[in-house]
Order: sequence, then structure tokens, then C-alpha cells
Amino acid sequence: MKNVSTDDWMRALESAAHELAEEGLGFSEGKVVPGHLELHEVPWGSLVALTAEDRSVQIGLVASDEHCPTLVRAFLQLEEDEELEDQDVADALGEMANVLAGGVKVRLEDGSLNLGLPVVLRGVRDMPKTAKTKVATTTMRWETAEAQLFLLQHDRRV
Amino acid sequence: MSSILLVDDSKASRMIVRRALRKAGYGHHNLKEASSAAEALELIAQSKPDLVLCDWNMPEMSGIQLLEKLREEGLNVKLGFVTSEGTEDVRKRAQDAGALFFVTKPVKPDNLQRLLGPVLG
Repeated sequence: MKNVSTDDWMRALESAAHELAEEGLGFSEGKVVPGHLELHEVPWGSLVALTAEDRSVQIGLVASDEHCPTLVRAFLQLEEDEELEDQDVADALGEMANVLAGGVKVRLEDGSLNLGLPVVLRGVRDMPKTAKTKVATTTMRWETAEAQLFLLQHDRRV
Repeated sequence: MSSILLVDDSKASRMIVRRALRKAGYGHHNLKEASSAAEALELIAQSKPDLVLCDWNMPEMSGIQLLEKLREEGLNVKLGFVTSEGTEDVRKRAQDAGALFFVTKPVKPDNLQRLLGPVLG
């Protein structure tokens, strides 16, 4: 199985996010704003796990109550005055995480990784992680919205 | 006019594929949706769509399991995958099972046009 560094994962995630933004959200190229997000509070978020026998990586995004509707409306191409139910937001965020995680898997060309189903988070305090979990985050900023991308690396090797 | 069945557990994804089909010039076809492979099996048995566009990862029954089930039952409906998966091993499994094509998300209308053209005309 491939040995992938945290930097490799994050580069793949940022690249997948750029593609999602351009093709899925219709945003022009976003800026990556480095910095560490603590993930203590998740107003809206979603994640998908990529798992193999010896490791599991959860890839996802977090968006504030302010920016989340903008991202979802862009993804679904809804007008500003079109109603957005929480269920629609959850579904759209889940699909965005799905596209991101799939994009990462393709970029790393690692067929040993299994892509899971999306999990949506709302108002979560403290992402589930252990002392051994490696956490990496970054912020993507576009003209009208921003989102935090994250990955949680769980190494199962004894 | 052909009938196309979109199979994906995500309503957002089905909406996005519909939109991409419209932009690719296939909006005039009869589009139906299924939110699960089980629902798709029923719809396919009832109405035999000309083309099925199917997600790969779905709860309970995956897209590849759906395709394999269709082939087992002798239903040679045309099926292509629209999915966030895209590694070589997954593409090969899809091809071996008889999928006509494989489109990765985010869906681009020109990709749909290129792949659906030979199937739908």
C-alpha cells in the first residue's frame, strides 16, 4: 500500500477542492489560506472516510452558518430567494464531501482505499479523534464564500 | 425521445446530473429518478429505460451490485456510471460488469455529451 504523507493528502484535497469549486460551484479559482482550524465547533460540515486495512482518513469540509447557504445554493444552482431546507443543505454538503473524497482518491491513485458514504455534521462540538489522529486543515476562500477543508488521519498500524 | 433513469441516493446529485444533461442537450428526454438501487430495479423491470445513469456508492446496494444483478436477471439495459470514484480498478470492474461508460463527478456537460452521444444519438 502506498505511503502517503499528510502534505500529499492535503495537496490532493486542495486540488480536488479547486475542481469542485470550478466545475461544481461555478466559482473562479479560490485562494488557499493556510492556517490551522481547531475543529472544536462545526456549524455545518460533512465528511467521507477513505479506509484501508492499515489506515483510515476522513476527508471533509466545514462551513459557517453564514457561508453554508451560499455554497449550497452555488452547488445546486439555486437563486438567492429560493427556499433551502436543512435536509437539502445536508444532502448537498454530503455530496460535496463525496466529490472531494473521490477526487482525493483519484489523485492519489490508491485503489486500496475504499470510499465510504457521506456523514453530515450539524452543530458538532469536537470532531471525534484520538491522541494519535493527525489533523490537517486549510481554508478555501472564494469571492462570496469560504469553507474549511480538513482531513483526520487515523493510523491503524500497531 | 429516449427514457433515462437517474439512480443516486443523493437528491442533490440527481439534480446536478439532470442539469448537466440539459446543458449537454439531453433535457428533452424522459428523465426519471430512483433514490436507491432497489427502487431502480423495480423501475427498470416495469419500464425498461433506454439508459440508466447510476452512482457507484449507495447504501444497501451499490451501483455495481445493481448492474451485476441486472445482468444476472438477463436485463441488458444500457448503464453508465456517474460517480466520485475514478481509480483504474473501479473503472475496470465497471467495464468488466458491462457498464457502457464511466463519468466522474463533478459532472461536466461536455463529458456527458461525448459519452451519451453514441448511446442516445
